[in-house]
Amino acid sequence: MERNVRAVRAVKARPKQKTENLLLEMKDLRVSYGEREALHGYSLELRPGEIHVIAGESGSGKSTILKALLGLTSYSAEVTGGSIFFDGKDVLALSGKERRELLGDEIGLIAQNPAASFNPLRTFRAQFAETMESHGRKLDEHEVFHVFKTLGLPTDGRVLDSCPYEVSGGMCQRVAIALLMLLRPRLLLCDEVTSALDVTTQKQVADELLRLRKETGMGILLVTHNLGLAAYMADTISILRDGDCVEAGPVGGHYRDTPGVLSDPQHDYTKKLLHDVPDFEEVLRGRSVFDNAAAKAVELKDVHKTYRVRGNDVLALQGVDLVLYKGEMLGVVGESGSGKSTILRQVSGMETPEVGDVSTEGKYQYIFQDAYASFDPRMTIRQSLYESMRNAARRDGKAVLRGRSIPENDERIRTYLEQVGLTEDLLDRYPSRLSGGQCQRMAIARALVADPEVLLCDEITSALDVTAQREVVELLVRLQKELDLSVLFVSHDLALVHSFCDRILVLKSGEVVECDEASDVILHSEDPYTNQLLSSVLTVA
Amino acid sequence: MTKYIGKRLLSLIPILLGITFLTFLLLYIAPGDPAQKRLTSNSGIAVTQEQIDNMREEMGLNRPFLVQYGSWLGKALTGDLGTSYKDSRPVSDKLAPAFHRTLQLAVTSLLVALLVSIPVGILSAVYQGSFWDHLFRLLSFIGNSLPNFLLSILLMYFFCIQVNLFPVIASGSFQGLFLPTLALALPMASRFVRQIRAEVLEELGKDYVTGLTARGVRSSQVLFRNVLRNAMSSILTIVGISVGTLMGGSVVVETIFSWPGVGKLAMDSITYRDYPVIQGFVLIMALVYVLINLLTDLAHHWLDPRVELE
Repeated sequence: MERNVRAVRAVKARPKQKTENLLLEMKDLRVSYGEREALHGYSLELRPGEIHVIAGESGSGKSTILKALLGLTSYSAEVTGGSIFFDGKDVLALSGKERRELLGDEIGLIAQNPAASFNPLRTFRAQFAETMESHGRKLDEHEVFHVFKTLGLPTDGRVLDSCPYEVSGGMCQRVAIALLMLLRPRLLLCDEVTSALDVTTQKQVADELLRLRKETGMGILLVTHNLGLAAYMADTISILRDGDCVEAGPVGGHYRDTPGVLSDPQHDYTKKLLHDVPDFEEVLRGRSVFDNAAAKAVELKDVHKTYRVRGNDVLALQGVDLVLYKGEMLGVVGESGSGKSTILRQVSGMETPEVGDVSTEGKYQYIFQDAYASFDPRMTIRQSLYESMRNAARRDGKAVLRGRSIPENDERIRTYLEQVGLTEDLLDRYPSRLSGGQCQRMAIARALVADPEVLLCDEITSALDVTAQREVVELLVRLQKELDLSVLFVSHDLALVHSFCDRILVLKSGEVVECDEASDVILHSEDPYTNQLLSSVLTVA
Repeated sequence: MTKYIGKRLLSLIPILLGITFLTFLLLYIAPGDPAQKRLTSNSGIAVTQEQIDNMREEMGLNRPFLVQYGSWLGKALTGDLGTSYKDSRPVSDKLAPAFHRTLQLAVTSLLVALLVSIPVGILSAVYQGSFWDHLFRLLSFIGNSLPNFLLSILLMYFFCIQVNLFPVIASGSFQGLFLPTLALALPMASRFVRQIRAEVLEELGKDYVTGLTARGVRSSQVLFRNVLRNAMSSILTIVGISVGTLMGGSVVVETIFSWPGVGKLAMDSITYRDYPVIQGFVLIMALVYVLINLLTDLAHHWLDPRVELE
């Protein structure tokens, strides 16, 4: 990729004040991982009460800035140039111990992966108490529940006395945010905090952070690829690409009166990013209409599913009816915990419902949200694809080909790799050596080599940045047409689902709210729940 | 939970039946005749075939295999493990004190091994790549590769002959416990160190450690309340396996230090073709192994509830 170094507009949101008033100042910061320089000189000024967003695609160096700021030894990032001043203190000159003392109290982090915040095996209560204790404070249960309430978390002991492994990722993320709200650091670093959350919770969290900023005057540095969130929250923004800041300045956008980067992008890359954001106006493929007589690929009739969690029954699906016609792309949307993934688990046969019928016609493949976790980390991509092909051969009663190198398989893999837009040299890598977008496209390729007729997609784009997300969706649309696939696409991104699905099914607490032609649901729905979902979507334009 | 424990205990029945049957079968087809052994070792003079036949009759060895096993099993069910061929004492009277001795040795050596390996393993992991890490890893490598008999003899040479601190023949005294404990604990500690180091390193590399540090949780709390706590379930598994091995008694170490434990008893019984004692030993050991495994699984589940009991 050609590196694009252009004159960078300096971040000057407000007239320059005295340096003492700056909460955070970075000058020409350079960070390397071993030999490779990942950040080529980044500068930023942040005042108390200000929110700055660092946006850009995966691998652009966004998170590297946070790592440099935190200075945790477990990160292999090394600052090779420039300076960081926090509250007038030269952070890079501090000793390791002095830097660690800043963490939590002065500088707080909410990480992207909620699993990164808590020890999975200890209750939230124990971990809250431990954190407070480390900062010389006591755990005040009323205070905790007050914060829980603002984040829509249950205010009895249910969540507080659970272990992280017992709650969903979105729930865990909210608890992590709650803990940071208790700590009230002066500078809050948020690393893609909302990408694991559904639209409703996303907006709640954004509003909560805004309120917190107003109340405490904390500065917030937000790393995200969600430009809608950036438009909603930020005062200033910098756009990163390949370790260079291509554009920076006031954020602008339709939530502000003043112009800025998002409303008046100067750099081509910013324009491309904005173009890649799905919006409700764009439709990527012509919608097909299916009538009842059309051939069905998947049908669920009055499906009920209950999970037992800690001795309590949780009704995950309460009488769901669903039809996926052959050649249809059906979007399933709803908040976290509404039962979206549960539907896919019933369809795929990973689980069987207590009540109701599931009938599937044809061969299906499941594509998971976390592409990395869906590959065996100790197998190369080629081995994983071979395995998928062996399983498919076994399923179809064909000869199972074995060996480290199978020319027939390679031939087949090559054609699908071309379709997903990847090159052959990636095949002998391990999954961890691929980018998020590459890995998810490999997961699609792995599904395709098994000759599926139905694809079950479980939030496959939510871990991807907008550019990778668009690539994956465009790929899916093209493949659907070429291979006449039926696709069940579970997502919480309404605009995205609207852009390519024929019909949309809205799910709430395990019940179908409505299921209709995509644009009818998005543009003309009269259902209050659907409208509530739609109003929570943060948009750029 | 109770249901699970009950199930596991019930599964003991087929296990014990299978094991005792197999041992009985192996002893039956093994060369050597307990009757002849008994006659020759008592007097040392040549015996006639008639005498041997009489003795076989008396010991019940001429009956068909299944009848012999059945009669043993019937008695064992009532708690009677039979009498030793060697000195006609009840098997349980011979096993109980030996078992007690082995238990003593097992407890002390496990304690020593854990006391050494836990701090060393943690230090090695926390200061990964440091001088101490390299030193500990080298030592644990040596400890791992040194055969038991060689270590025992080396210990004996230094402590009994060069320094003359301990008696050469331990015979179950408190003072005599020291050297066999070391001989068992050192290789075990070496194994533990490597495992604990690996487990702690793996935990330290997990994302939540970064999260805790980024929240300003004190590093001692990160290490002791979180990392160690989570690593403990895996460490417990290796300890459980070692306990099983220890309870079986170490034939080599017990023989070298003349420690009258079950390992030595089993060895002596095999040489003497003392079938009832061997059978009793195997039965007790199977019981001990199954129970220790059960306890390990329960503890594992208790420490990491994600591990399901099934």
